[in-house]
Formats: sequence, structure tokens, C-alpha cells
Amino acid sequence: MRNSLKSEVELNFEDEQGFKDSVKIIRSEYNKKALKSIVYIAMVLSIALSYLIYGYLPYIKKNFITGLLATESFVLEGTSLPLNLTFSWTIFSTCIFLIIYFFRLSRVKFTPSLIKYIERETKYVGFEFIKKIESVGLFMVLTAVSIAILFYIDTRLIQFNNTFWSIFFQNSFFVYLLISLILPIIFIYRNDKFAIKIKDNVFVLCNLHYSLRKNKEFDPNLLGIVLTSNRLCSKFDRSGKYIYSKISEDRWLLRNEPFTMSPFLHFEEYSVPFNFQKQFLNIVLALNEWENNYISNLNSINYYLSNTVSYYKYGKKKNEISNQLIYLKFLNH
Amino acid sequence: MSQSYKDFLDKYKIDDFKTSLKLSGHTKVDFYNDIDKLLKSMSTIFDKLATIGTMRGAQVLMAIAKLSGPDKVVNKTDVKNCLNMDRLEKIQPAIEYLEKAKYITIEKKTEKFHIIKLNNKDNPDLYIFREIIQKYWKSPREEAEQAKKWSEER
Repeated sequence: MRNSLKSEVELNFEDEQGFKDSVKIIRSEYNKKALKSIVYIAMVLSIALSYLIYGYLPYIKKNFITGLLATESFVLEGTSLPLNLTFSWTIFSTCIFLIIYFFRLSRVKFTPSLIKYIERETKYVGFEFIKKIESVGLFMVLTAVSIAILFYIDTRLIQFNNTFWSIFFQNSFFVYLLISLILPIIFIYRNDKFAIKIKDNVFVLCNLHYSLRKNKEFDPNLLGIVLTSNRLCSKFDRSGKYIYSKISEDRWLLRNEPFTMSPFLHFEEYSVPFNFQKQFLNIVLALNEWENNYISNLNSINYYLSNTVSYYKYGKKKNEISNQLIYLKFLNH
Repeated sequence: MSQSYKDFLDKYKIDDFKTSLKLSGHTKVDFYNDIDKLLKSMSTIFDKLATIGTMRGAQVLMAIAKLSGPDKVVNKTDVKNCLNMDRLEKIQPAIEYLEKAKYITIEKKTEKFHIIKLNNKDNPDLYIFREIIQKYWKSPREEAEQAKKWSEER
């Protein structure tokens, strides 16, 4: 299973022994990953602390950011770095972001060998497994803008006075700094996901469910992969809900489990590594059926105005067509 | 719409021997559609049970049933392709089990070329199983092709 040259691990879930070995590998990889994240957090914290002790502590009484933004005539006491504000903000925001990022990373259950397994299975069906990390890019863009503005403030190219526009800019910039810190953190939790791209704007999210406690008993359901489609329509869309229920029923998909709080409908499927491909195809074909049968709200309104039957394509009309086909087939027999 | 066998019997009064079964026109079509639905549901149940099980035995049996025919020769690679598997090793233990349980027979033509057949002789139920599977079951290969085709649509 282990390729010593590339240190690659190929997981095998085909038999009991293979399953046990694979779970062991995943657990050890997860522990290593968590440990690495903790080390990174410690490193970031030590950098932040060192900066605080040696660079920031002499000015701690000054209420740094608000003080500097407050008036044009604000001058730091004593000698300081020429880019003090820029440098401090960069260190502060980066540290906060990285600590939360690594903390989140330590909780993510995907391990390298498991990612490789899902990647291979997905590729074999003809799709691409992707890791969506939007938070880092967003953080870099927002921070770059804030650094640029702070640089101008530090070099006194931007100066503040007591005019309306100056105060407005000052407050807006303060709000921007807060947003540039909070938004990427929200993205870490909401947008950084493992997904399989199906087609433009259609994807399936992957989540892992497994217990990290050492369990000596063999349990094939120990490692579960929850597949969730992108949002389909609002829960209050009657026609959408009907089609959703019909497709979920026909394909034995999960209903109203993890997204009960969400105002949108999603297809959900549960799989274990052994049947991952089959369950994945099930949700993809459900999405295909959805696309073929669901009419968007705008079209639905037009349909409401011209029809009294609210089952749209999936309702009575569709059955009539299929009945006719069966009837013709039947006559040909 | 009848998806229950009991409802089906009640609907056409099949188990009521006082009433004769009269099928004509639309009733005949309804009758056919109801049987069709029942068999389709059975196929779905086979499919789901095969997915739930930890061994691939049921999936392999379904693939063999799908591929079998009077003029068709089925080998292990055909089964592997039908199930959209990347490696033959994934189905090997299942094939061995099915052979031991006498659900299939394997005719070894050469060292590498083995012909696989359903053992209908010892298990006559496999006749109807094959018919249901061939008519209603979509193999993983077919599903993958359908999914791929749809994903490539603009």
C-alpha cells in the first residue's frame, strides 16, 4: 500500500483487512495534520508575541490604530519604524487570519491519502475533485488594499483633518479594516470546501464523517462521505419542492438532514468509500433530472398564469407522455 | 399508481376468484404500467441492496445478468467495465465467492480468458432476475456515461 519512494499511500476498502489498515492510515495522517497545525499556530503566536514585546509594547498606551487615524497631528512619541502602522496591521491581521485558518485546518478530516482516493474515484467517473480555498485569496486582496492605504497614511501622503470627508474616510477605512479581517474568516468556515465540479455552476460538496476514537471492532460505516449538491431552489418554492421530493424519493436520497436550517433545498447522499462512485453518480443524475424538470421561478409564474395544474413537467403531463410511450411499446410487443 | 404488490392484487381483484379479470383498452395499459412499476421498483431495490452490502458480490451478479445473453460471451474484464471499476482486483473476491456459492459458472478457455455465466440451472430464480436487470437496471458504466454527457452540455 505504501510507496516508499513517493511516500504515497493507496487506500483499499475492498476487504476487512484493507479497510482496517486504511482507517489506521487515515487516523495517523489526521493526527499528524492536527499536530502540524498546532505547531504552525504556535509559530504564528510566537511571532506575534515577539513583535508585541519588542515592537508594539512601548506604544501600547496610545491606542494604536484609532489614535493614528484620529488626527493629522498625531505623532508617535519616541523613535519608531517609518511604516509602523502598516507593519503592525499586517502582522496583526495575518496572525489572526493564520491562527483561525490553521485551527480550522486541524479540524478538517480530509487527509492526503483520502483526498487522493476520492480524486481517483472521481476522475475515473470523468469529473474533477477540487479544493476550494477562497479565504486565502480574499484575505490577500483585502489586506493588500489596506496595506496600500496604510502605507500612504504612514508616509503622510494621506493626512486627516476635522472636515466631514476626512472623518468619513477615516471611519469608512476603519470599517474596511474590520471587514478585511472578518470576511476572510467567515470564508474559512463557509467557502473553503472540498467539492466535485460537475459543470458550470453545478457542483457537489464533500464532507467527511468519521470517529477519531480508536475502535477495535470492524465497522464498514465508520468512514462516511456526505455528498451535498449546490442549492437547488428556495424551500418555499412549491413546484421546486415537489420535484425535489419526487427525485429524492425515486433515487433514495437523504432528505432534510444537515441543511434543516438552510432556506434552500439541496440534494444529499450518504456514501462509504466502497460505494462512493455509485452514490456520487446517483446525486449527479439527480441533478441532471432536476435541470431537465425544474422551471425557474420566472417561468413558473408564467406557467401559473397559463395552467391550473402545478406539477409542471414532472406532474400529470409528464406521466401522460410516458404512459403513451409505454402504450405504444406495449402495442408493438 | 400501484407500487405495492398487495395494492396491485386488490386493484385488479386478482385474488378474488369470483370476479373474472377483464383487460381491454386502457385497463390493459394500466395493468401493464402497474406491472412495469413493480418490476422497476424491484430493480431499484436490487440496486440499492447491492450498494449497501460491503462485498461487491451483488453488484457483480447484476453486471453478469446485464451482460448475459444467448449470443454473448462475458469475461471478467466485461464485468469490470460494466461496473466502471478501475482495477480487476476489486471484483476478484466477489467472483470467487459467487462461483463457490454456485451463483455463477466460470469456464476457463485459456489461462487468462474465462467465460462467466449465470448458473440458471441450479438457481432458476436467476432467469427473472436477469430479465428485470436487463430491462430496468442502469449499470454504473451507463450512469457514468450519462453523467459525463450531461456535464459536457452547455
